[in-house]
Amino acid sequence: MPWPREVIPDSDRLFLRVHIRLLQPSQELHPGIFREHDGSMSVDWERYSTAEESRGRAGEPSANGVVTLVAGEVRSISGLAVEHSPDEERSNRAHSDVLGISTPVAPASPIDPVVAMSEGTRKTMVRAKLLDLCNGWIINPFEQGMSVSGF
Amino acid sequence: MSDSTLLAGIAPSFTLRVRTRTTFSRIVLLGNKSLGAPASAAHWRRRFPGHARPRAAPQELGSNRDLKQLNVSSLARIAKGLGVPVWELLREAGLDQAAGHPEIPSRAFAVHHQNVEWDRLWWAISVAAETTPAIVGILDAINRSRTILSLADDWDGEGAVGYSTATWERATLFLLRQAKLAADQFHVALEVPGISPADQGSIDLFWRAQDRRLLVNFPADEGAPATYYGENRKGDTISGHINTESARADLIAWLATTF
Repeated sequence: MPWPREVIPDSDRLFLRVHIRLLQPSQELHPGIFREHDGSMSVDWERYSTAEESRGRAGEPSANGVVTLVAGEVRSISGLAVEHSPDEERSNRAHSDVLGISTPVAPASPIDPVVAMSEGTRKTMVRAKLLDLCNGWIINPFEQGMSVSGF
Repeated sequence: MSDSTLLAGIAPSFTLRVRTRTTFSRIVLLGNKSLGAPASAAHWRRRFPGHARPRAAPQELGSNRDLKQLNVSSLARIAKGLGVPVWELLREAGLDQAAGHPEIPSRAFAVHHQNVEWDRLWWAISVAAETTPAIVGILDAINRSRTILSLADDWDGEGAVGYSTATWERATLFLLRQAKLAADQFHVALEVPGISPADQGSIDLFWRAQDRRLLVNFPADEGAPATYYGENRKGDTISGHINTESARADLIAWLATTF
């Protein structure tokens, strides 16, 4: 029986994996960590996953850290949505999507300043705001002596 | 801290002096005759705060007046960053005698070869020569940001898009233009931004100060404009598109303003 799609409460945390090669050379978090793949940014809902499990699902777990976002704060950015989207194929009930980074999921209010923005400018704004909301590392890859060849 | 002569007697008509300081080294090429003061004392203090004015004026080099003064660190970083041997820079700068000296590449610099468009490199050198102390940090950040270019397609094993030299050059040369404008027009050193890989092969410049931040994104598609968004603690915002072929004074003013 497939897992149901549930509503993620605003107060719940989301785990986002970050590959350490994105953070060279400064090792500081930056807006480039917010990236879409096939139209959404994949995160894991804390109800069904630990941060360690989330990291373990990476193609190269040892080269990834995990940061957290809060669902309601993400939704506070105009045009963004957070939806639970369990991944049966990969046995990941926690899988969820942050939608609307490139293209807003719903038309903005006429009084919303983003109405006047181009899609590219809006995306730049969204990434800057997401970094403000990011609660930092819950698994810091640089404190675990990890490194990637080539640097 | 004291002056030290690292390279000297390269050619009969040139003396190469390197002034070593904590933040930068400045190389001045002196001719056999004094050409008078290069700038007023006030101008010198403004441009090179904390650094002594040279006793003699730098000799004018070839036809390019921007290259009266070459900063060793800047030159080395640009050369390394853009992958061109330093001796080539010196030769193109009209310093044929110095360039022919075998000590320069081996003793002073370590560089790697890579094809670049010469006119872009030349432009960058001119900028460096003109605004040396103010952009040393910028040049260092640019140099370090070359690690982005090691991220080819599928660098994460999950299908991520890689980063092209063209996108990196577009971003970093815009940054250099901003730094030059900040030094020349605003007499300030532009804060060093983060230079980072972003979504879909694009590259970000990100300034993060205590009371404001500014994010500029350069898409992988060269035909697409760069975009920016800035916000300060009071809630003021700026956003829009950038023609990256020219500097943007308004963005420098935004970053330079403090409460």
